[in-house]
Amino acid sequence: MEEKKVYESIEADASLVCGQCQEPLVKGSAKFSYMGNAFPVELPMCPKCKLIYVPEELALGRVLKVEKELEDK
Amino acid sequence: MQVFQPSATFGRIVSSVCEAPCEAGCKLSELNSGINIRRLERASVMYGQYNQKKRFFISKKNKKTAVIGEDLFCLSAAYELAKKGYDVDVFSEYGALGESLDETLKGRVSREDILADMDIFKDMPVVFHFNRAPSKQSVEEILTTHEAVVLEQKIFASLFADGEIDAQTLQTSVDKIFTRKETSLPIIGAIADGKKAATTVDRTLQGVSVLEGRKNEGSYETTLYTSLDGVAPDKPVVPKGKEYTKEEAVEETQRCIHCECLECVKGCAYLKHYKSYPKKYVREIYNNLSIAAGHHTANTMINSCALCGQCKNICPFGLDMSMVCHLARQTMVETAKMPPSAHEFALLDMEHANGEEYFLAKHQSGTDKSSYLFFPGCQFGAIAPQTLQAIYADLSGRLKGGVGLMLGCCGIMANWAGQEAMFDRALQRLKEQWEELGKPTIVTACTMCNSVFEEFTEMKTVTIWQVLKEIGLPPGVTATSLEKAAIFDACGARDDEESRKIVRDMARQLGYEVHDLKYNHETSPCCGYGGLAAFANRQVAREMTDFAAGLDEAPYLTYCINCRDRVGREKSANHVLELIYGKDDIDSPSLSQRRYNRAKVKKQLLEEVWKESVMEKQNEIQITLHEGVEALLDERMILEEDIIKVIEQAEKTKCAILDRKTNHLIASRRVGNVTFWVEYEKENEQYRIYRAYSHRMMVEEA
Repeated sequence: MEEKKVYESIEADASLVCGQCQEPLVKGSAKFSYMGNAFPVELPMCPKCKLIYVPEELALGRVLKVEKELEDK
Repeated sequence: MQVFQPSATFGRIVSSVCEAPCEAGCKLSELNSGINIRRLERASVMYGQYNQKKRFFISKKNKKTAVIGEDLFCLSAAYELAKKGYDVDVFSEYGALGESLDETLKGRVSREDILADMDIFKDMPVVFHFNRAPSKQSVEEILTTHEAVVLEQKIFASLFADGEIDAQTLQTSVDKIFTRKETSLPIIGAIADGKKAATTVDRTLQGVSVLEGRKNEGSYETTLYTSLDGVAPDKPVVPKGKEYTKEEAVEETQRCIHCECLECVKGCAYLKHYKSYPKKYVREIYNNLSIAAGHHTANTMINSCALCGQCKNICPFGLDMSMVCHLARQTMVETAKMPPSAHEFALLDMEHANGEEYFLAKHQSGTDKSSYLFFPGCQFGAIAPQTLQAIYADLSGRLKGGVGLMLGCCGIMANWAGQEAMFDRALQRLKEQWEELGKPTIVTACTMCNSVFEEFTEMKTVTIWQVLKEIGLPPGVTATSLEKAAIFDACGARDDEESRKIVRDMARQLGYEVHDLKYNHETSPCCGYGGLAAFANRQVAREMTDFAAGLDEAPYLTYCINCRDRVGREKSANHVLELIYGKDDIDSPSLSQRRYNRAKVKKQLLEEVWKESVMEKQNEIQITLHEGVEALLDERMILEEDIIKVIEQAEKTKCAILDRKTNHLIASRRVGNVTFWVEYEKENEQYRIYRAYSHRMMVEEA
């Protein structure tokens, strides 16, 4: 089976747990979307309730860069 | 040599005997003496590498032309015609190439140099016919076999005594014959005329307009403005020998000031930031607007201009980058190409200023009509709420006929963002309120509001400066300071000479010894707030503020509250109204405090002046910002109310991530077009905020 392309894959920090479910976050499939474009990614999330975590470095790094690129398209 | 060789057809001759009219045109000749260009050209010939010109391709015209004579004019014309692809026959009464020049330039140019310059005819479609003394008969014969004939001037004069010459095109009254008029420049003038004659011959034979587009042919006066400010007069290097040594030539070149204008760039941090100049910027902006698909690389540049109009006032020709950028923004909005993030924060701020927390339009307490309506503007209430209240108390006490109050934004934020429809709506609403209040005269405290009302509405305005000039300073305000201060002029007052003058007079009245900055009055730089630059490009806005603050060591006096706020973060600065009415405790509030200030000033005014009870908006969530977070929030344009919204939701839904290392919670919430993330910790009944960040992308489970 062909491996699906992901734009970013972030490992979950071992110290992060879901506040509600108390489950440690794990890497899971998520999707970023902006201005009609979607990007499959792997982000830390709660395995139970699927609460997603976007780390600051990602938000202010690659995500911001792609936002700007899409806005300038 | 790389510069000289391609532009001079007979470089060795020219560098030896050119009359050098360019030297008198050199800018430095206004101070003392122009660059010794002829000698530098000679030095480049003597010490540089003379490369044989290689031509890759000449499109053949299959038409025969003739040149009769062998002076510099004729040789130049022959060369230029050959370059254009014509077969050229040169008829000379001399016995060999260069003999004629050798005779006329004897003792001034060596035979070797003349012959070396003749090398340019190698591999060119030019055939020399020597020992052919010109006569009317021979000219007529040549005319039967050639389509055009360029004649040496003295031969034309002897054969066609009554012939007339058009100095602009070098056509003559004799069909197919071209020649030149004698000028005071027998060397460089002759070579230039040869080129001109070849152009006329070419256009005639091609059947196109001979005159079109030749206005700036040859030499002409440049429109380039170059300032000599700071250039010390010096003397040209005098050669010890006949010509410059290599070292002397280098020394002379170092006198060159590299003529350029850039006057606007020198005065504007924004124009400096992009490391180029307006002509290139305008082209980039045009291209940015023209491309249908692909990356719009100039968007940020367009949105970083302060739209302050300083460049237009500095430019000797009035080039207005503000207008270019403003029109570009309007076009981007119309074509849905404006980046959504560029101005959203600013437009939401305008919405706040015109929303229920700040907007107000009322007659003076206890009256039902107003002769005046005080309009302090959106940022005055945000930055200096106590000063605002003191001003209103004074105006309503001393002006007759009732002084109403209107709190809100004049709409300039939308105008700056290129959002014409939004701007019109904001103005329309103000106009309706003004009409409801009986069309009182608006007293503005912001020069920008004043210029907006004057330019876009029929509402009658006076500035607070005009009012204070008329009624005098409030009782008890006296000259207490003996400080020196520099006046930092507001961009909103570019066309308001009267306010600029009153402010200076008033500062003196208050005891200040004031002076102007290097850039002053209508050429004052932007403080970094104008044009929403601070929202679209914080870096450029910071550079604008630094530039503005660095113009003078003295404390500044401003008469725009945004100028005071931004410049005041870098150095001592006061608003003249703050000197008169007192200053707020926090004089440079954060973005969130600005909003609190607006709400607070409205509430206080309603309660204290109009005796109305106002319900205070109470947040259930009380936050404390950890050290450094306030500055971080301003940098990232995140409001405390956004943070509160995130925590409210997280506490309600229990959806948050716990970091076991720190015991902090991390939660997010989508507010409008932005997802905000907050790291916090519950501390007694408060929430301590450690950091916050945001992104515009939506994120969801795949």
